[in-house]
Amino acid sequence: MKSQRIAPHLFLLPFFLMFAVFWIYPILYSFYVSLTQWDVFHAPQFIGLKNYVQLFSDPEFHTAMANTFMAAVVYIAVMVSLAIVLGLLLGLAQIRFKSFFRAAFFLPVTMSLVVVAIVFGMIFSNDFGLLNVLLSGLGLPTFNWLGDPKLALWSIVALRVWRAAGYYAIFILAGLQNIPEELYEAARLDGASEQQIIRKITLPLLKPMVLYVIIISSIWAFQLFDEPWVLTRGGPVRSTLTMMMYLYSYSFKYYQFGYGAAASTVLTAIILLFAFLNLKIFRTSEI
Amino acid sequence: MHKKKFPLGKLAIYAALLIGAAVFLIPFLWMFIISIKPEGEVFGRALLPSSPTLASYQKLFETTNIVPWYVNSVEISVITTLLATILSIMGGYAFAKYQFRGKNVLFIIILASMMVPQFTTIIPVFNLMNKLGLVNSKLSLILPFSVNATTVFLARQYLMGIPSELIDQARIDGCNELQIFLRIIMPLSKPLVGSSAILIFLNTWNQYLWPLVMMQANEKFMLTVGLASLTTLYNIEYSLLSAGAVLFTLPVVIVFLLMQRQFVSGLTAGAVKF
Repeated sequence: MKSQRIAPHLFLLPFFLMFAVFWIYPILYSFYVSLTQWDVFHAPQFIGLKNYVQLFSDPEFHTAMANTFMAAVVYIAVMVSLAIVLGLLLGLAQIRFKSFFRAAFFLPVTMSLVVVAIVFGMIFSNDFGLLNVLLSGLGLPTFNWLGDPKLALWSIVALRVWRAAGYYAIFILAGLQNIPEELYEAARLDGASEQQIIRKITLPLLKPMVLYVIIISSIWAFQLFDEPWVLTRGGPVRSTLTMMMYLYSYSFKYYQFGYGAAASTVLTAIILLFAFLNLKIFRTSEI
Repeated sequence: MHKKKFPLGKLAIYAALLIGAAVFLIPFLWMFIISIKPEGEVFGRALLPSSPTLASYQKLFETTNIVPWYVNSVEISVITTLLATILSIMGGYAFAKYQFRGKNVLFIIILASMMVPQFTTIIPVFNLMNKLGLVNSKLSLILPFSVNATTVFLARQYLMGIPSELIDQARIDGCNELQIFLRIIMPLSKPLVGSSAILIFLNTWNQYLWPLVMMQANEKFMLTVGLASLTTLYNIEYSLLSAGAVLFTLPVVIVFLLMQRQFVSGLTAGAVKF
C-alpha cells in the first residue's frame, strides 16, 4: 500500500532533518576543519595533516592522552566490577527493602556532574573535607586528595565511580531478571551447587549486558571534562589534564578551531577503537 | 530468577547493601549539611553546624542570578524533553515497524553517532548558531539537544516488542498510519515515554559544556554554568555553593523518586535486547 511506503519516511523525517543538521553535518565539517588552519579572524585555510603532526609532537597532548586513557580504563574496570557485585547482591537473593536499595543506588546519577564536582570538592578538600575529617578523627593519616599530583586523577575517577556504579548495577539487575527461571531449575535438578550455577549460568548469560554497560560507559569515560574542569582545571602539574580539556582550551580559549577539531577527531577514533576492541574480545572469549 | 538459598549469609548481603547505600547517600547529606552551616563554620572540624541557618539560601537569592538561571534551566529542559521525546518515538517507530530502503545503514549511523564526543559537533554547531545570530538564545541549546540517538535506540527496542498483528488488524479495520500511531502505539508506549522523558530531562538539566559555550551572558546561564561560575570567584563560599547545589538537585531527585519504577523498566528494556 502506498501510505505504508510513505509513512516511515514521514515519521522519521523530523528526527532525520535535525540529526543531519546537528550531527552528520557537524561531524563531516569538523573533520574538514581539522585539515585547516582557522581562527576567528581568517577563513579556514587548507593545510593537510599539519594539525595532526603538530598534535602528536606536543608533549602536553601526550600527557592529556595518557591521563584520559588511564582514567578511563581504571574507571571502567572498577565501576563495572562494582556494578556487577551490586547487581548480583540485589538480584540473587530475595531481600527486603529492595526498592529502597535500588533507589539509593540510582540516586547519584541524577546529580549533575557539576554538582558532583562541587560536592566532592567538599569531601576531598584538604582543609575541611569530610574524608580528611573522618580519617583524622580515626587517627589515620590524611591526604591532599586533589592537590597531590599522584592522587588527583584517582580522586576524580573515584567520584565518577560513585556516580555511575549504582546506575549500571540496575542494568545488571535487569539482565539477571531476564535469565529464564527454567535454566536454574534444570541446573538444580542436575545437582549443581549454587556457586556452580552462578559461574556456569548467571555470569555467562550476563555477558551481553556487561558488554552493553562497558560500551555505553566507555563513551563517557573518554570524554572526561566537567569534573576536572570544575575541581582542578587540569592541575596540579597537568596531572588531571584530559583530552577534552585540551581541545576545549585550543578551540575556545586560543580559538584554534582547526587544531581543536584535529584533537577531537583523534578522541573519536580512540572511542570507536575501544568499542570495537571490546566487541571483538567479548564475541570470541568464553567466561 | 532463582531465589533459593545463597552461599553467603543473608546478613552479609544486607551489610554489603547497607554500606553501598550509605556510600551513595552520604554525599547528598554532606551537601545539605554544609548548606545549613554558617559560612564561618565550614572550615571547622565539627561535622554538624552548631546552629543551622538558611542564611546561605537567602544570600544566594540576593547576590546571584539564581532565579534567571533556574528559569532558563527549567525552560530549556522542559521544551527539549517534549520535542526530543516526540521526535525519538516517531523515529524509533519507523525503525521498529516499517521496512524502507537504507533503514539498516541509517540506524547504524545513528548508533555510531553516540560514540562521537560532544566536542566534535560543538564547534561547527557553535559557528552555525553564530551565523544565525542564535548565540545566547535558548534555541541554540534546545535544537541540538532535541536530537537524541540514545532515546531513538530505546524507542526502537521497546516498540519492536509490540506485536505487529495489532498494527495489521488496525489496518484491516481501516485505520490510517497516523491513527495507528496515535491510537495504538502511543497508548502502549507509556513506560517508553516516561523513561525517555526522564532520560532526556536529566541529560539536558545536567548539561554543562554546551551551555558554557553557547550562553555567554551571566543572566542567560543554565544552572550548571551559573553554579560552576561561583567556584571561580576569588573567595569560594562553600555554604553558598552547597545551597545552590541542593536547590539544583532537589527537583530532579523528587521527580526521579516519583517515577523510578517506570523509568527503570523503560530504560533497561533496550539494553536487555542488546
